[in-house]
Amino acid sequence: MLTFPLHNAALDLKGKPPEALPHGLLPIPPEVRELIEMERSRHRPEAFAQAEERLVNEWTVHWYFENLCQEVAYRQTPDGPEVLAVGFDEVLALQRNLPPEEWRALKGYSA
Amino acid sequence: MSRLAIPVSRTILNSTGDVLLRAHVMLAVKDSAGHFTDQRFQIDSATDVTTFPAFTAGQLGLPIPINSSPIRHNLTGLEVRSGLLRFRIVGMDSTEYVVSCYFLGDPNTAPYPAVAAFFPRALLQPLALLDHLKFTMQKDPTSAAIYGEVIIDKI
Repeated sequence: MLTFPLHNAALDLKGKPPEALPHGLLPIPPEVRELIEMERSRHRPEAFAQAEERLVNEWTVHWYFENLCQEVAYRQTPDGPEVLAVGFDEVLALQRNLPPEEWRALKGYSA
Repeated sequence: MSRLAIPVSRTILNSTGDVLLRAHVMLAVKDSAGHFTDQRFQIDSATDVTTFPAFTAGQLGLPIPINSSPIRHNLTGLEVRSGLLRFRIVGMDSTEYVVSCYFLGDPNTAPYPAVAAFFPRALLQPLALLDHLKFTMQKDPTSAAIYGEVIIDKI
């Protein structure tokens, strides 16, 4: 059973520049998996099944980037988020290098 | 008729366990040359005016006032440039909208992310668009949007 406060990865990353923040396929933390299981019982199974991959990806990105005040662009995958760009410069460069339809298939995070 | 359904995202504030519910919309903002660039805004009816970081606006070439206004932004304490934001809503038709916008912070200095409370954010005040758009919040328990969704309809 999780108890708050949780020590998320973002706490140890505060103050680092965008290039030093996590990139690539992020491991899904056990705490996120536990939060997902806690949440599962609150929803209709068929609806939750449709939403689960999105939640796992969003909550994992949040675990690593909460309150870092950095934009993140990531690809949602069944194995967790694949972070492609962190920070304004990287995100803008990615946006300018991708065809619009590919860019718009990506997900964003900022908090 | 143009319509966009945006799923509400839910995260946990890891320090307290409190639930955060948010909805973001992608706006294609128009620069001084008439080009559009996608930028993500949080829909926030509590912000007095739509806000956008002045530094980002400068980097994107958005038209912003040269001089700051004689006020400070209440929530962040940042300097304000009172201007207009022109945009399309990604996922809807190509109608262009214009809203008043506070460009926050120094356009020549990248915001320092150490203190989240003072960080300029991209917030869309939806009430400024009610002449053209209808915003509805709803929840269907059988839908994949398990925390509900914000529906934007063109009037």
